[in-house]
Amino acid sequence: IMKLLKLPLVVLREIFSCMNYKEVFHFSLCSKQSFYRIKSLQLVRFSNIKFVDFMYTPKEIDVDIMPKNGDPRLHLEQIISVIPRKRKWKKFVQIEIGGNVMKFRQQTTKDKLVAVYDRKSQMVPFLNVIYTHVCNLFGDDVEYRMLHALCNKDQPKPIYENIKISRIWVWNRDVREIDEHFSSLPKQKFIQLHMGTMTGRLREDSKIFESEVVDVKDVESPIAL
Amino acid sequence: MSCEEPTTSPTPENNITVVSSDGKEFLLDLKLTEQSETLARLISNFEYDRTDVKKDPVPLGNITSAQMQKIIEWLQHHRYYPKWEQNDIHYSTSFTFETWVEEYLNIPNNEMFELLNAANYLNIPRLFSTICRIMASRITGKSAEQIRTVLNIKTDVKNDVYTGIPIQEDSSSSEDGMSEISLSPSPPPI
Repeated sequence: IMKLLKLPLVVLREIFSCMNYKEVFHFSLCSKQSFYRIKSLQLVRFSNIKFVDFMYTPKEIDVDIMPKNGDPRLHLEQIISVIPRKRKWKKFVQIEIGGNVMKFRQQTTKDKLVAVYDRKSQMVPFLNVIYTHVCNLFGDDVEYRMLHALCNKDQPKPIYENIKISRIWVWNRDVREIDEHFSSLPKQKFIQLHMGTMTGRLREDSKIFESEVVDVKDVESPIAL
Repeated sequence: MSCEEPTTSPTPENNITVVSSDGKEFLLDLKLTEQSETLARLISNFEYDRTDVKKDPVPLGNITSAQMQKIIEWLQHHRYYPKWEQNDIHYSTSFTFETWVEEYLNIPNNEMFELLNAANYLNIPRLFSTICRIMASRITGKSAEQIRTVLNIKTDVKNDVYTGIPIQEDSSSSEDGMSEISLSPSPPPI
């Protein structure tokens, strides 16, 4: 039986060029070989990505792609969206991401993947493996952005080296936590803080000040920069 | 797209013989071979388009007689179509196909792959691009697991993300059978 991945590279490249970003991304999740085929044959396409935007909230993980100017599909294109749910389905699909197999259900209405998990803490492993896979696939030349929504005190703040632009929504969190969060990140090009109900004072040597641009929303909150 | 077919009767002068890998001979009209860049170049190089040149059979070692028959069917259908022009790549899967093309390519995946290889070998751009688009459209809207099943791709890493315990592979994605799918994918029910 002939297999798709055994086809000549020029044939595979033509097939991949008929797919959009989301399909290419999902194809790369099929196996290691499919990952390396996509990575090696879609370098030109990936060089045309302006940035990759991760959105991380307690309720959802989204990854969107923005192509560069000149690309006819100049709009944010969602490549994966995961909504965690407690395990209640008997049937689910196993998807390999970043060398690990995770359990998902596909939603019919919005074509989203629904993560199947048991514990609340499993949200971070999901984000970790998705982040690792995305960065490995698209490479270091792409700009990675992260939108965090930090609402709960027990919500973790994943640290990723490739993130250069951060936007954070904050509620009921200590300023020191945000300070520590950015101290673990590389120097940011742009930080946008939606302060919400957060109070406190940033350290004088806070790494937030090293960012090229800091945009603070909700300035009526008693925070001292 | 459709074209009116004028009635022409093939003569021995404007035919060449191609031989498939299993030894079957096919008589091909030179007009048909214009759609294949490989054959067209070969005919041009050996001057087979001249009536005074002896035309030896052309061996096509990579193509079986079943594939050749399928390809001739394609060439005859597109005999009077204008030359295929490759569009710019738009990284899109929103393609529409003629009813004839959908019926013609309503074949199992392995036959499709073999036909794709043959189209690549003979360099028939219209057939090659059409099959690639059909292949891509078969993946549209599918999750990785569904793609794996449809295209018979075996996963090669099997550690659970939470426990690190190796996961047994689902027997449904084994190499024994090639799964078939429709062109309009339907997600599994919740």
